[in-house]
Amino acid sequence: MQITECSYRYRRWSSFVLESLDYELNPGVTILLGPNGAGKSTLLRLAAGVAQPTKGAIALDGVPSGHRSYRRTVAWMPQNIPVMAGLTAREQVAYVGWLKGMSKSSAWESASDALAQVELSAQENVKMNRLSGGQVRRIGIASAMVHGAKVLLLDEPTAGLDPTQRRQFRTHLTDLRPDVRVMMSTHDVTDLAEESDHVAVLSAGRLLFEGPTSAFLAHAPSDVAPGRRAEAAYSALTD
Amino acid sequence: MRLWMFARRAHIYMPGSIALFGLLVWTLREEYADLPSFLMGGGGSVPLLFIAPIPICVALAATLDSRMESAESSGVRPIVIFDLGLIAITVALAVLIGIFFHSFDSSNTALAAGRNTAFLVGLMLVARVFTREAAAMVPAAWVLLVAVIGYGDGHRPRVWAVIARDGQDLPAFAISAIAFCIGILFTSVGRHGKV
Repeated sequence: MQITECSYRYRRWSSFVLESLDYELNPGVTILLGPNGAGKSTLLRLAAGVAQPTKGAIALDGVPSGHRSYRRTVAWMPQNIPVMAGLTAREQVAYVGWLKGMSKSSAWESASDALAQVELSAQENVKMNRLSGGQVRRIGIASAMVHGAKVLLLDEPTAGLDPTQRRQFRTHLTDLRPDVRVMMSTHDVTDLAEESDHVAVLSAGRLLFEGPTSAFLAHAPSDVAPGRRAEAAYSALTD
Repeated sequence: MRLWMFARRAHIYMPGSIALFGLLVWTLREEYADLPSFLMGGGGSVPLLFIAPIPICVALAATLDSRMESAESSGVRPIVIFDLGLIAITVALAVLIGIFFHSFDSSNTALAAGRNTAFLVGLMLVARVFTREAAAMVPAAWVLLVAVIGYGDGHRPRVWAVIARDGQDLPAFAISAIAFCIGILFTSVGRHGKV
């Protein structure tokens, strides 16, 4: 995925939320860090093809983000997972697969597999409004994985998950196909930055840092304990 | 398609609201209520069928709000076309129900109820662009407004009180069709490029 000279503003007269962003999403897991309001969610929405950049372009293997085939190969998990009260867990996940262009039968089968991956098989037939907050979060993860996307865009996927569920989530990520590219925003620096392949840091709509995780961690002062290196590196970049 | 219908809860809301509309047209088509009319001086009666389109408007608003914004806007299915189809079929059914009862006893209020559904649904769809949550209340507020101040001297409907016009009034039919088309247009345009 290539993001070229990408700028975005919500209204014609408002200021830019993202400015002249150049970025290439590499295979593996990329962690998107940044303070609140840095433009992380906006970047993920643009990359999902939900909105078009005001300036610049986003493309995947040469296919622009507005194209149907682009949206078919990209999955987006928003910060707030919608709860469709009338649907069961399996129906909601299957609906997302169907929206992404899968046939009804394959979406239905794939939904069951995706729910098994997030260990919600027992809740397949439970109505969405009866699930806990953590379970709804995992439904969001299953929905992002249901159609076998090449790119997963996850907005705060681990928010609201307990430590065990976070560990399981990281296992799901490592179990993904090697060609899948994952970009996920998080505030959980210490937990995730050391397990990712790449890190990008956004601040006020601009890219402060992008590169391998090892290069990111190198920004931490040498006297910092290993468990706190990610946090120290993030502070060194953003302060 | 079935999943879309379930997600919208259209299989619950729409048959129920159309059945209620039919029931109201059947039972209230010759019923009138005396309401105070501030600008008429002596008050007047209004057809009770003014309220018949409101359940359909509320059900349509609830149906359109029952959606997965994120997944639908990042998906590849033409969901907006399905929504517009649902709206068009619902309004067409209401108009047909009005024509059906009109054919029985030449009831112009039944005919007007179908036409008014098109007008009020159009109004609600336009209102949804500006205020998603309150849009369902706009048709009810409009009906109340017409009932209270929509009549002038000699109990004649004012120019803007389209829903108070006779069922066979062609200009009122045309204005209702235009209002409905504008609502459809706003709905189809409003979905694209939404963040």
